[in-house]
Amino acid sequence: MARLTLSRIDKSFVVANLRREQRFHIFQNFSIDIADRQFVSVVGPSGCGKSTLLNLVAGIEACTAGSIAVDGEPVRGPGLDRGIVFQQFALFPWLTARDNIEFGLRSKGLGAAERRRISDEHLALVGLGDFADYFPNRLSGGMKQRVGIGRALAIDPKVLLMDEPFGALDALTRETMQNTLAEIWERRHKTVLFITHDIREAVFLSDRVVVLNGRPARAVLDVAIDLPRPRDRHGEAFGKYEDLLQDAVREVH
Amino acid sequence: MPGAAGSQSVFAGMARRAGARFARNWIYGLVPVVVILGAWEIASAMGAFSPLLFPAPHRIFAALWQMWLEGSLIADILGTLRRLVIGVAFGSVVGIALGALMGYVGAWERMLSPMVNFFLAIPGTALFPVTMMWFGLNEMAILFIIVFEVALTTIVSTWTGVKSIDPMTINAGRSLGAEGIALFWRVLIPAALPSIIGGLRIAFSRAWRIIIVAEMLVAIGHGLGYRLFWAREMFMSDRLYAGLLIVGVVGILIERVFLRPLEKLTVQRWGTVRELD
Ligand SMILES: Nc1ncnc2c1ncn2[C@@H]1O[C@H](COP(=O)(O)OP(=O)(O)O)[C@@H](O)[C@H]1O
Ligand SMILES: [Mg+2]
Repeated sequence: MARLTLSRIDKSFVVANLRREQRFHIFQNFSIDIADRQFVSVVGPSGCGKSTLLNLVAGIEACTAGSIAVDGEPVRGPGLDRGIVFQQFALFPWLTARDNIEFGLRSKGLGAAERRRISDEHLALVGLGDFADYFPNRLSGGMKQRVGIGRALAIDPKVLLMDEPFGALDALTRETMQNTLAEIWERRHKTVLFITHDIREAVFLSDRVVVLNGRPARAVLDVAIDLPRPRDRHGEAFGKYEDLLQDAVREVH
Repeated sequence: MPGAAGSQSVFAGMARRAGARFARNWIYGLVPVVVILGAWEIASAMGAFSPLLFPAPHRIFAALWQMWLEGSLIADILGTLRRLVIGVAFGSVVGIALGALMGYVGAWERMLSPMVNFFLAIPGTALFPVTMMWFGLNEMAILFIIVFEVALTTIVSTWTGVKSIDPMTINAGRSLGAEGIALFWRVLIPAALPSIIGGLRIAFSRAWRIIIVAEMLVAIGHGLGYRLFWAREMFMSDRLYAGLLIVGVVGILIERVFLRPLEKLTVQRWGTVRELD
């Protein structure tokens, strides 16, 4: 079981300029519930608070009020029950692909043999079996993010958090990575919170898509994507979901 | 995937090119040295210089050889290097630890940065009167100053290095279970290493200069600085120049034998600093 619950959270930032301080309420009394093994995407216009939402769940930032819980366990900071995949990869350049994947396993105190077994397994899962000993600077963008995904999954988190993970990649690589992620998710059926501004990506990957909009941000639309997997990006039903979501994102609230 | 033979020839080619570059750099670097020494030797032979103030180069090298035979040369080099290593080791451990704290924890930065700036304004050598008063004319008087200078230099470089780490790298580390001392060893230090190595480089060269001066002032048993002092007292100008030559050459070797390889093995291999052709 891995259920993610955000109850009545507030988050505001104080922005100070020369004359005065101004408080921006990004979230006010915001709640969302993500069921076990559900793949949920959050889409919305730039600046609406998507990354803030993910950082709150990640424990990188703290709520001003309200609570976030994984399986009823309140989030008080970063933790190994949540694996994060970053837009800019955020790999450790001083570690090889394998050692990046083993980073969290070391934190868990696993022995060398066990770490090796798990890193082998995850290098294969993300398709980097031949690149175990490469440093990140020798890998392409897509390969870097494969390491990023392997690193987040290796710790066997309850929830996988991804903030525009393919946003830094070119269109072709992006589509390949979406296909890869869909395959990986079939095999590692995690609860996923996926942030993106790409609606096609959200429809292709998700069980459910939430559209954030306005300030403070609200879920202006929350739809289940009822399409069989693997999904056909060119199907008619697919297009309908796209249109529906597109309107909700564009609408000014 | 290239076969084993293919990759071997690639490495051989890389090694050959690196060797050629190395040789080229040394040859270029030696040109002005040879020209100056040659002109000096000729001018000396023509009686243009006072042999006491400017002994001919061949006499300086003869003095060097003499010092080698007497065994004093190697004892002096080792004595000075020993002080350098001890001073840099203690100083950099203290400096890197405090610098990382200052770069990561705001309270430490606020507490220590005024003091660091205060001490930065004081030349290490200006502390000699104080340490000589505390410790007397001995080893501690020298080591204290070196530790002080090295710590200060590495504090500043580590502090800025840690502050410039991409916050996402730190978030990645924390979300993967590295907190506290583990975050320090596993994320902050390696991520700040380009800057820390830059600081060590400056620390070594400053420490080296200060040791030489310190050995002249404290004038204890052995060491290159002491030898310079002694050569002047005896008015053995050939030995004085020979000593200076060794001070410079050992300084270069520290850079080549220790700092360059350290850089090659770490930040250059990871691609976190650029390697120039
Ligand atoms: N640390 C911060 N301090 C002040 N304002 C912030 C901070 N982080 C984010 N914001 C503001 O909060 C809003 C939402 O940001 P973000 O969550 O990054 O948006 P998104 O990811 O949807 O593009 C933006 O207006 C941004 O400027
Ligand atoms: Mg964002």
